[in-house]
Amino acid sequence: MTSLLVSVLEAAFVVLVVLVILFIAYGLSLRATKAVTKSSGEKRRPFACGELLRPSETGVPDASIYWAVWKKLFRSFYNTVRDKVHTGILNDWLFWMFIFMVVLVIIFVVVIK
Amino acid sequence: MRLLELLFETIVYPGALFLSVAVWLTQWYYRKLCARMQNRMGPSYTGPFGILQPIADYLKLFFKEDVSIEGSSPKLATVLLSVAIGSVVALTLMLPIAPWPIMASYDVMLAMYLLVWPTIALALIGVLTPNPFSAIGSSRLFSMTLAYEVAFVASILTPVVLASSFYGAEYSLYLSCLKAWELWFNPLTAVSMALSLLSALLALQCKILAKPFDIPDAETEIVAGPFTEYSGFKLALIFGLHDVEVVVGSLLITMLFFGGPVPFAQLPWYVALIVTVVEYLIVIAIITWIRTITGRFRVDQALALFWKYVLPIATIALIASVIISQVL
Repeated sequence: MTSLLVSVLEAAFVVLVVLVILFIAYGLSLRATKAVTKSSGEKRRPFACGELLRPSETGVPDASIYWAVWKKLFRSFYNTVRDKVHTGILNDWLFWMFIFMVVLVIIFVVVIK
Repeated sequence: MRLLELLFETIVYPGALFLSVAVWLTQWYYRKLCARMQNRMGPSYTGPFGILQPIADYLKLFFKEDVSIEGSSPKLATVLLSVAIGSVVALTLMLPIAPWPIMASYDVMLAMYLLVWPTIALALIGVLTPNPFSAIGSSRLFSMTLAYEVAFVASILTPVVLASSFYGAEYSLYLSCLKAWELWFNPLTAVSMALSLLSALLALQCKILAKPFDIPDAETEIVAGPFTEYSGFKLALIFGLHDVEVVVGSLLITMLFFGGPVPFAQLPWYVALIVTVVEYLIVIAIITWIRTITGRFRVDQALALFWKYVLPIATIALIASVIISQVL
């Protein structure tokens, strides 16, 4: 049996061959469609719902798309933590931070050991 | 010599040519079966029984104009999609259908890496185009990746771990495929195999973005998600990547959990071939059946399903397999 590094190189060679084949096909496709391609005008502008988009409208803020899903998924967990644990008293917060630090120290000690 | 073998495998069998034929026939079967389950006819007019319809679709895209929107990166998108297709082809060469396979001890790590590439490519091509639908589709895909890729990896690792400890497969995907089917005959390992098979099927359903997990390209909400601004050859590459994923993902499950032709090696070769094809078609039929009977989940529902049920099932199967392999 060959080494893992050789297998990785063999897989990379396969990927490279496929990349070359598909780029040749891409070139052939571009040549075949050259007669009908007019890559200018409105069809190259960004549209959504029939309206031309301003540059600021073409993206979505990260906070709206990446975190929204997770916030929604863990909403019940957040609610429970907020209602049961969060009291608004500074001493309670210090207590939880102390517990957190103790857990971290235990983890580090176990890992270092 | 080895390079020539790899070149033959990549271009002819089980690489580009074989996968093209497999994609063509699988897509026809997939569409026809889905249509019959929904009381429709499915492809009917292009060739006998509509069998040439998938080829007609690809040819149409090949000759259609490839519009690149201002501010996008068309060449980078082509590179990403080509590398992703290449990684799936490389994965095919690690399965027991390859005459001169790519294999090494612990090469399951390489297989996991190759499996993740299609998802990365599909998510990144959405970010490469300036369109809010593409951005939302990509974000959904990234969010779902954290759920189903972990479950898929865990469910693929279970038979590999068990085959390595019981039959000395050395964490090689090829050797695990040759031996893992025997695990069904041991009551202790059969439970782990059944749980990981269940989670692998559901994770594959999500990986190929079939209903109820077609959330990133939900056409009624966000047009086509990450693929909204793509047309012509690049859209053909996107469909090609999806179809190759269906074929190779189903082949992987067929080979890893049921051994493909290996259990029937004593019988004539055509019997082993027919049994393998039937197993493969059953996996495709299960995917089609789930796709047909379900409606689309919201992204939080899909994530909840994976985090609360599928991932724990896959993790329990993996932990059980590790414990069994250490104890027995």
